[in-house]
Amino acid sequence: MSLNESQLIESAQGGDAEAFSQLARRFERRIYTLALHYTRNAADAEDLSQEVWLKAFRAINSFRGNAAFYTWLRQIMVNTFLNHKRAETVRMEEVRSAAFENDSTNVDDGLSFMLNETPYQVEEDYERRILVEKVMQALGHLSSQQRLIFLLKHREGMTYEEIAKAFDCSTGTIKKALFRAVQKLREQMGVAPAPLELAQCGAGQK
Amino acid sequence: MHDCSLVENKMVDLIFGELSEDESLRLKNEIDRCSDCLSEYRSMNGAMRVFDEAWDASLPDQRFWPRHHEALRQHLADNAPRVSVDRVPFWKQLLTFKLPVPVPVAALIVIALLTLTALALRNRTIAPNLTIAARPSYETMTPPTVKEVPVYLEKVITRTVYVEKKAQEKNASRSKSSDQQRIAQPLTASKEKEGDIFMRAKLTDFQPPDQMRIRVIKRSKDDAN
Repeated sequence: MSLNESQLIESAQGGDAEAFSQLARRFERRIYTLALHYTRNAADAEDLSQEVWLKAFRAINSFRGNAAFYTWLRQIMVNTFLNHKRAETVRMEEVRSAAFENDSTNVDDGLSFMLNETPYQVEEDYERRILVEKVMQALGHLSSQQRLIFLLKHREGMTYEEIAKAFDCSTGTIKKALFRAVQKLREQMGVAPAPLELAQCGAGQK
Repeated sequence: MHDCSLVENKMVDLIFGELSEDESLRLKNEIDRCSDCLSEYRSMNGAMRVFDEAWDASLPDQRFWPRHHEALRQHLADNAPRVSVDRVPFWKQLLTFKLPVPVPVAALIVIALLTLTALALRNRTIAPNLTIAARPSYETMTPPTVKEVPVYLEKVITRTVYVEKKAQEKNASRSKSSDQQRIAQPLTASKEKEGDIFMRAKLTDFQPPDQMRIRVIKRSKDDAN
């Protein structure tokens, strides 16, 4: 922890909202991007990331400095994401799943509602847009927990133990969830096993 | 012996960097020797690569972040006011005051309160009768009657009463008139033997009032002589 960061934390613990917003500037992109891929919706991601920061500000006095600030913040983020899912996302997911199923032949139309809400100009690059749509659609086929576990592992680099602790479950459960998440993503993104020129393995056929 | 399902399970660990360097190398060698496993591994790696490309492509434009930060700053300023305990009105503090009491203690207090309430209500229903009986008005109360009963010897009277009670119990089934004769006879006989110089008070059919003051005058045989 740099001195500047500890000073900002100290000021925030004294109730300085401006100091806390300066602290938030360091991690806000990371939190927002995770929220965006978790909710797959820009407006929801904005609300969710703001909720994370607000909860963190309210709980800043409980931060003792035993761990890194981001580690502490990430636990708040995980809890907020999971609670957000329980409260609001269920309905949205049902609506989106129906949309995906109805318009699965036309990816562009099927995800247009989401892309229209994003703040960046995806129209400039059609291929890029298709790729993002495809991945977001694939993420939508994961359960909320699978999605969050996958994001925490793949993008945040958390260990099985850290994720298991955050979710209050065993590492075996996390590993299974990750395996299923990868399988589903691969299936939904249409990444087929690469053709090989090697001889077929006779042992241990599935 | 190579087992594809076991390798597939470990593949997730390999992809997400959960294996040590030695374990990774050993698993990669095993994967390389099996075309199915290698195809699976490449497929999973390919999916991760596509995901990462999409992740980078999905990042908002640089112009987005200042707006995002400003919105966050505003949100924090608007929704995270510091609530001081001193500013809470006293009556609100009283209403929201919480006293942590263990459940068993709270249950005992409730039971005790209910019992006391029940007892108080019960006493209230029977209290008027008791009050009238126990506390008569002094104005309406009749003055006590004073009856002087000369007693010759305390012993003799005590015994006489005892005999009378005993005789009543024994002859409960007999008639009232025969009872009086039989009871009076030993009394008279015993008195006459000792020389009764006083007039005995006849207490038969005597109906005392609610209150009666009895003055007992003790006298000895010497006084009689």
